[in-house]
Amino acid sequence: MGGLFSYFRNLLGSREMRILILGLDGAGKTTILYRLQVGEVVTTIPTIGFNVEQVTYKNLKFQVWDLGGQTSIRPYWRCYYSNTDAIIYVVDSADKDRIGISKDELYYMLKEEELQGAILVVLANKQDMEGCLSVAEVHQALGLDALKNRTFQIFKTSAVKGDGLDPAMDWLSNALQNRK
Amino acid sequence: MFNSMKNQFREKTGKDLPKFTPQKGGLSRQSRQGSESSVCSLVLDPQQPSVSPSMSQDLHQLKLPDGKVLTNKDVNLLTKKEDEWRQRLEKKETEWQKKIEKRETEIISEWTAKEEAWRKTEQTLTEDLLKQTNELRDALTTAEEFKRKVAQYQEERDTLEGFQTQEISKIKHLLLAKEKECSEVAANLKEMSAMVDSLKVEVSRLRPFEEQVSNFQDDLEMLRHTSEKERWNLSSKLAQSEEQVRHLTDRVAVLTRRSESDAGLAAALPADDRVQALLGERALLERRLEEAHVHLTDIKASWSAQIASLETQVGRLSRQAGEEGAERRLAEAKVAELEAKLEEEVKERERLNGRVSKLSEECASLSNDLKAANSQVALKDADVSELSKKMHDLEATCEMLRNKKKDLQMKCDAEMEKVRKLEDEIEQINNNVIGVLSEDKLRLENELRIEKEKWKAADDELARERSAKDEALLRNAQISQEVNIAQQSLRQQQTEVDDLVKKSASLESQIKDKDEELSKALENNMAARDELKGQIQQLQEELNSKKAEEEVEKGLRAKIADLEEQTTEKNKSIRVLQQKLSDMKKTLQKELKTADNGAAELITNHTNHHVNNVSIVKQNSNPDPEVGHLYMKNVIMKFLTSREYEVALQLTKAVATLLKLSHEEESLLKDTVAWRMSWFRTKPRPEDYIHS
Repeated sequence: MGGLFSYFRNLLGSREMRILILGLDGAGKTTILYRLQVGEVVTTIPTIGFNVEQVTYKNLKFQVWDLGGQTSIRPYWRCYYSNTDAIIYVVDSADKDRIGISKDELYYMLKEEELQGAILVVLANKQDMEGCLSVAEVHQALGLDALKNRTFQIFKTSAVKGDGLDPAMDWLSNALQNRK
Repeated sequence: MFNSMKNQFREKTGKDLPKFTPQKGGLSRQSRQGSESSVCSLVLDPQQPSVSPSMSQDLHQLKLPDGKVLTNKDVNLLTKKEDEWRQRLEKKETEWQKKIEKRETEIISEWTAKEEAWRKTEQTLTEDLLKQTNELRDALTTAEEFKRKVAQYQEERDTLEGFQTQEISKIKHLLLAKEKECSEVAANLKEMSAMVDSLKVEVSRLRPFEEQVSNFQDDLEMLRHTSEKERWNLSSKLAQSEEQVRHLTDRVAVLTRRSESDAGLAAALPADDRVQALLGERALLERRLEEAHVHLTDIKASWSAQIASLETQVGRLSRQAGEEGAERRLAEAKVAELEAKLEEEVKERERLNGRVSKLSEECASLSNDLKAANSQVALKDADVSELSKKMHDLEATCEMLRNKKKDLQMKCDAEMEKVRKLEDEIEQINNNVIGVLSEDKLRLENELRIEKEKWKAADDELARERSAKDEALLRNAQISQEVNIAQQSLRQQQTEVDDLVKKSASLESQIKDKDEELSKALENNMAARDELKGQIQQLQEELNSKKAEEEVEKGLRAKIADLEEQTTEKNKSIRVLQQKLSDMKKTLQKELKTADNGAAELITNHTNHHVNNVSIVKQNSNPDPEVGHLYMKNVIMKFLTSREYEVALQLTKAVATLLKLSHEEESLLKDTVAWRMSWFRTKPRPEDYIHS
């Protein structure tokens, strides 16, 4: 039944884009997901598991998966990598201690065969916090200069205030449409 | 059963049953059925003819070719199986028969239905045929009618054609006649045109006469006019004379009567008679007056006619004046043209005048030049005269010189004679000297040749020496290059060695630093922990001590909360530090390995990643089972409750990893999800996924 429904939906419109939101625990992935879907800040608890929502942005439909980022469940990320169109990698700009771990996780993830064609958006989140790293500092700390053969862009965001998400989604939807 | 069959066979033929041996080449039943317990694969042992079926019955066992023994039980089992097979076969046969009957009935019904359909179609076709034949008949009758009509039309057409030909012939005739007329008319026209030409020629010939004629006419009219004038003059004179004559006659008559009356009076005529005579005279005079009046009117009429003629003359004259005016106008136009020409000529003249003035100016300038030139010429003439004077002087000197030259020539001749004498002497001396010199020369040439040869030999030796020297130089250069290369490589090696030494030193220092850092970090951690523990203990003590005091408690609770937050934060930092510690340990190990000899296998990042995770998981051994359980629960709940096909399909992989499912189990799960979400798929059976 659902298969038939999706079949018709595929006939009518284009395929839903599959997007993963990844990042360390407490980076603000779930807040970003619901900010994108509902447009409001919702109170969240640490995600043990995942959230999947359908987000419509400028007539484009995305199936956005927010995977829990705790250390023990990070290995399960790779179960979700197949058929992924884009990755939104969320970094806590105020968490200077763990940015190295965040970088390692990012690079382990990007080495996966299934994600070679995926577009990468890095969100330097929590820009509203005092003493946080700037976009350039996050860019340097993650070593994004070394990235090759990858369509990517970094944006500064504040999920709580709702800043910077629109340009990021604009860029992402453009990149996805251009890739077709 | 088999045994009974065998017995029967033996009774009939008196021979043993032939052996059943599996043939090598063909398809054996054994191989086909794949089991050795098949009945058909039974073979009697040829080496043991004593083992008869009866014996085998007694023994309740049969021997298979490979030595296996079939007991009576097996045989019974086999017979049972055979019976079962037979029953199944019968069932199948009955099923088949039923099916065939069904098929037949179906076919018959289909056949009948098709026959009916065919009949119906036949009927409809025959009806159609009848309809079509009727239509065709109608069409035939109409066609015959059309044929008749066509014949009629043909006849009519023939007659019309006859008429047409007649008409055409008539028209042709008429046409011929008209053509003849045309030719006649054309001939006439030609004649006429010829006449016209001749007339034109005549006209052209007569044209000059016309002018003469008009001149003559003019003359004639002038003459007529003059003659008429004269005639009028004459007639008027005549009329005057006639009038005078009549007047005179009347007077004569009057005077004669008067004279008669005077005579009568004299004769004594009464006065009355005289009056009467005067009266008569008066009447006569009156009558004459009237006559004169009439005469005057006549004259008046004649004058009016004359006036009319004069008027006509005036008209003619005015016409002539008009003609003359036209001529005058033409003449005026000519005059205007001539004036324009005149003006042009005037202009030309002016132009020419300008030119003339220019030319005169030029002439003036030229004359000035000429004057200047003349003055120059005069100067030159003066120079020339001077020069001629000089020339004269020079000629004089020349003559003097010539004289001198003559003297000198004379002297020269004398000298020449002396010279000749001297030359003769010299020749004599020369002859002597040449004889001596030629001998010397020959000797010297020989010596020169010898010297040359020697020189050539020395040259050759020099060239050889030079080539040898070049070769030696080349070798020297090569050797020096090699030496340089060797030195360079030596230097490189030295630098490499230095680098390596430096690297090793730096690595050692790094290791030391890291060790120190590690120890420091550990110490810090320990200190922090101790502190925290101390604080916690203190707080707990304080709490215990201050539990009794209820008022102070509230104030302290806030502090406790703060402190607890701090502790959690510190705990977090401790965790982070522990992770860092593990990372450092790993890097230390790696570097140690590489520092050893680099022979240790490099672990791939991916496996490293896993090891890292596992280590982290192991370190956080306390929360892991809970988190893992929660994660599994959440994922499986989502998987089970997900309504969207794509989500469920995506989750099968995660579930399979969580539950550590095998590949087959995972594919079964995937197919089941696909079946549940689709309408037409068949349900996947778990048995299919066990062996595959």
